[in-house]
This record gives sequence, structure tokens and C-alpha cells, in this order.
Amino acid sequence: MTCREYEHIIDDYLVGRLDESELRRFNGHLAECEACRVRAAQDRRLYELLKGDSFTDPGEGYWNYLEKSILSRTVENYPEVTEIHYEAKPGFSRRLVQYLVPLAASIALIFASFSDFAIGPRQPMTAEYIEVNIGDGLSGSERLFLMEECLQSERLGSILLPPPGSPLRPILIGEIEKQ
Amino acid sequence: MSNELTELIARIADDDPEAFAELVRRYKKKIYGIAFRMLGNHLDADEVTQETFVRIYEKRHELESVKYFSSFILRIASNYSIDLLRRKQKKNISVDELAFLPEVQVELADRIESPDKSLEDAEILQAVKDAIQKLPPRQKMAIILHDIEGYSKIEIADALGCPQATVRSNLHIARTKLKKWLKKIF
Repeated sequence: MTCREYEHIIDDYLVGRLDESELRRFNGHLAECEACRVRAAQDRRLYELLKGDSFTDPGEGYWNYLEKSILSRTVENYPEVTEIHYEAKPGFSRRLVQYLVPLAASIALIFASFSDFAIGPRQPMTAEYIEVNIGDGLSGSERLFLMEECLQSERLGSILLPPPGSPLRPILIGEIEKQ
Repeated sequence: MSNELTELIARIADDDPEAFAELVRRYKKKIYGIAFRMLGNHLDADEVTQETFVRIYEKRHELESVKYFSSFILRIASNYSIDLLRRKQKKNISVDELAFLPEVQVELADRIESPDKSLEDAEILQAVKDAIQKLPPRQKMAIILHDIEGYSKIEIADALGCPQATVRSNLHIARTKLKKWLKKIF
């Protein structure tokens, strides 16, 4: 084997798809060629890093929502998904951020402080995926604002709740825990 | 295709809603995972996943003539992901903004999955995620599908509609760039 064949073999080598004779040839070359040996070690390291690139499972709540949402868009007479996960309307998000979020955040803080006194320390809760419209129509700084709100709340995401009986709808941000 | 999948697809072509629901259940996480890695955020991954299944449903009466369904669904998801990524890149979204969002997500992810993870590990993980996001769409898709998702070059070539040699070339260029960008780690 020569160094020029390296590129033809490395992909299958990394994922373990070389047959025995190919693997023997490749290993034989690596034993003789320091340049390819170094390169293979780097490629192996990169491969391991890439394999370790995981993402957070959004949770069963989201997967159920996703399935229902797809089916409501496709299968005839499937019940429409009426949950509040996605309520994005063009232009609404911007107004939401500018006016409603600060107001709702204040209300939520008051409400949350009363709730904590009333129910005591937070109990372990089931994660449920709910998301607000932080996508289209928002600038980077607005997204940043919403996500920072999430992080600063010391919860897994944030929920901004209006007081009981209020005509305002809950504003939900990111991944939250729901009691 | 397995007999079970062939039967499922025949039922979908016959407008059986429960069969389509089963297909969604079977492939949704896979498609979402690929899209999330490709686009780097949940909103876009959700869009890609939904649109992929909507398009499959629209083509349900043609599905029985599809030879390899896994490649077929992968092709739809890949094409939509690449198109979406290109559309976003054309918009006036600064690199800083794009780079920021995954950081927030990683921070959230760290809280959920591994609160005790060392800072060094988190930094390396973040550097890898950032580097992947910097790759051009087709190189990114090739490396995600091959190295992370474990697809073969034949399957990737089929999904991307290009020769295997192009996939190999994309993988090679992507690796070279990633090693360059991540050289502190090596």
C-alpha cells in the first residue's frame, strides 16, 4: 500500500468497515510510514470527538407533540394540534419581546415567589418540552435576551405565567420543567 | 427493504393513517438528530423533521417504487436541511449570532445531561460543535452522516445525489478543515 491510497481507505478504517486483508495492509503501511501513522492518529481522534457530539433529547413530551403535529398536517381528519407549543405568527414575536415579555416576567416573578412560599421547596419534576416562538422574526439579540432569561431563571428553561384568571396566555421559553 | 417495511409502505400507499403514524414513530428521532446536527438548533431541526414527513406523505402513492426507503427519507431530509442552511446563510445573520445560539444550547444541555462535566470537556465539545457548524453544507452533511450517524458512502452518495468519489472528497476536505480549526486539541 502507498500513502496515496490513504484517502481511499481512511473512511472505512475509522468506522470499522475494512475487511481483514484490507485492514492488514493498512496496518502494515502504518507500521512503516510515520506520516500516515500520525495522520491516522489525528483522524482517529477527530472521529472520536465527532462521535461524542451528542444532543439533548428533547424528551417524550416533544416527541409526542412532533408526531401529533406531523399527523395533523398530513392525515385527513386527524385532530388538529391545539397545544401551545407553536403559536408563531409573523410580527407577533417581536411585539411579544418588546412589550409582553417584560410585563409577564414581572408578573411571573411575583407569582413564582408566592408559589414557592405556598408549596415549599421545589420537588423533582418531570421534564416536558414546550417551546415558544423564538424563531423567525427575532433578531439575534432578541433570541439572546430570551435564552438569557431562560438561563438566569436557574431552571431548565423558563415559564412566564400570567396570574390566575388573567386573559394573558402563558409564555413558555425553551425546555422547561413542568409540575 | 425488509418485508415488514415493505408491508408498512404498502399500507401507507393504501392511505392507512396508522401505518403512516408508525413510520413517523420509527424515523422521527433519526431525522431530527441529523437535522439538529446539521442546523445546530431545535427550531430548524423541528422544521426539517416535519417537512420531511409531510413530503413523504405527499409522495405516499409513489413509495412502493422506491428501492431503498432509508436512502429515500435520508435524501429528503438532507436536501431540506441543506436548502434551509443555505437560505439562512443568505440572510443577514451574523456569524457571531449563529455561533452564539449553540453555545446557549450546550449550556442548557450541560445542565440537563452532565452537570459535573469538567470545563475542559465542555470546551472541547463546544469547539467541535462550532467547527462542524462552520463547514459548508455538503461537507457538513457528509461528515455528520458518515462519522456521526454511521451511514456508508454509498448511502450518502445516494442521499446527496452525487458519486461516491464526491462523498469521499467532501469527507477528506471536511476532516482537513476540522483538524485545522481544532488544532489546539490535537
